[in-house]
Order: sequence, then C-alpha cells, then structure tokens
Amino acid sequence: MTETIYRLLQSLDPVLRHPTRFSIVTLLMVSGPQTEGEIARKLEIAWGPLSTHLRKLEEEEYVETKRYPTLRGPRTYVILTEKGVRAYYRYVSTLDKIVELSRNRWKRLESTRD
Amino acid sequence: MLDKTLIAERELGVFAQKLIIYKYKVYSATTILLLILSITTLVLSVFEVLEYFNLIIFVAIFALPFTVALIMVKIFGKSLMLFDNMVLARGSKIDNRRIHATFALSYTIPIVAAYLVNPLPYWPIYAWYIALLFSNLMVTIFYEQYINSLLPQLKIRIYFTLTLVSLLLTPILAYSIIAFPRRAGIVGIILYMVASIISSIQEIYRAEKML
Repeated sequence: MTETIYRLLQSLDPVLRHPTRFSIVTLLMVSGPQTEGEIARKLEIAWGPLSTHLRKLEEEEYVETKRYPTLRGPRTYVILTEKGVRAYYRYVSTLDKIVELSRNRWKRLESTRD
Repeated sequence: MLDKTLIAERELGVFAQKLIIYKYKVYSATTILLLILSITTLVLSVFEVLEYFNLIIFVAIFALPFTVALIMVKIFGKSLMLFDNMVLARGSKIDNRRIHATFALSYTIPIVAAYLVNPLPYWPIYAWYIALLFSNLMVTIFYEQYINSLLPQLKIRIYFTLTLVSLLLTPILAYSIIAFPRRAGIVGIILYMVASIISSIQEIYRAEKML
C-alpha cells in the first residue's frame, strides 16, 4: 500500500503541486475568469509571485489570458483552459485516492497496535 | 501521516466541486421560482383584475419572465460555464442543442395538444395545468435524467418534484372543476405556484445540505 501511495504522490502534477498555483486554479474553477488584480486581491498574493505563477500556468497551457471590453474599459482576464480543467480534476481525484489509502493504512496500523 | 498541505488541497478541491454543483442547483431553483412567480402573478393580475385579453397584454405577460430569465443567465453565466467545465473534465460534453430542443418541444407539444381538444366544460381555462404537468414530466425524463447522467453527483430533482407535487395537487383542481369551473383557472395558477415554491425550496434545501 505504501508503494501505491508513493507512486500516486509521484504522479501528482508538478505544476499544480505548488500551493499558490493550486489556489489560483481553484479560484478560477470556482469563480470563473478573473483579472490579475482580482486574483491578487482575493488570494492575497503579491504581484511579483503572481506573475511568475501565472506565467508557469500559461506555459503549461493551463490558463490563457484574453482581453475583453468592459464598462470600465478593456480588461485582461485569466481563463482556465480545457487542459487546465482536466488537470485540476485529475489532480484532486489523485489526492482523494492518496488520502483514502493513507487513512486506511493508518487505521490498519492502529488496529495492529491495539 | 500525509503532508497537511496535501490534505488541505484535497479538501479544497472537493469543496470547489461541491460549490459548483451548489451554484447550479441554486440557479435552477431560483430561476424556476422567479419565472413561475412572475408568470402567475401577471396572469392573475391580467385575467382577474383587468378581466380582458389582447395580444399586447399577452406579449407583456411573457416579457417580464423573459427578462427575468435573461437576468438570471447573466448573473449565473460564470457558474453555468464552470458547470460545463466540470462535465468536460469527466470526459463528457453538454449537448446544448439537445437541451434547447427538449425545452422547446416539452413546452410546445403538450400545450398545443391540450388546446386542440375541448373535452370538458371551461377546458381552456385550466387545460394549461394538465399540459404543464406533461411538459414537466418530459423535461424530467429528457433533461433532468440527461444532466444527472453527465454528472452523477449533481442529483438535480427540481422538475421531478414539480411534476410530482403538481400531480398530487390535481385532485384539488379536479374538485374546483366540478364545484366552480369558472374559477378552476385561478385555482390552477395558485396550485402551480405552490408546486413551484415547494420544488424550488426543496432544491435549495438539498443544495444547502450537500455543502
């Protein structure tokens, strides 16, 4: 079982493995397209690290930026791509399996100790 | 034990998915409730207060619900897109043409069919209630089942409840048709409003319980 957990941990997407990038993608998943300013404000991330993480996500084609006209002038929105959506769900489902397996393992250890 | 960050990320991921479903359920419930309330209120006011009918009023009746529907789609636009993404991530795709066709046919065929016949006295006054019962049944079968099959954790049941409750309230309508047929239309409107309130509240309650 430990081997399976280890293998699953190894298979976790390295791009989403970073907590800040995971938070950015989660925000885009739950709230839809956001401007960089909205992401920075909602997640309380400084502009510097935010740009770095967004660039990384863009390189992996998990997000894309699009310029839209709004009532307050044109705004650039960060949008989750289909690849990003799929990667996010795969990541969460792998995490789910890992947590489930490790809980079972923990229970088994507890019962053998008793 | 596992790294706490991993556990927190997993919790956040699961919560994010539930939140998208929650938004979709609330969207469905509030839209149906607002649409039916606006239609029934207008129908009641036009037929009961003004007691006459013409084409302009008929169009005006549907202008408000149509505006309500547009506003709801605008407000929940992002949530609907997120829902589409969720289905996409499961390897499926929402067939919007199928959904539009289902709604168009479901709310046309039974209504046209109901008004082509005239089996009972004052039939046109309450025929729409029976027609809507079949319309909602068709939407339950061809839309609700379809959307639930795309995303099993959704478990949306608003049209099913609406059909069931309006069916259960039919004896009251039947009684009013026998006892005071001229008033059967108004009784139908009130019963339909009650059914829509019950089904919407039940869906919001189920959404709230899911979180």
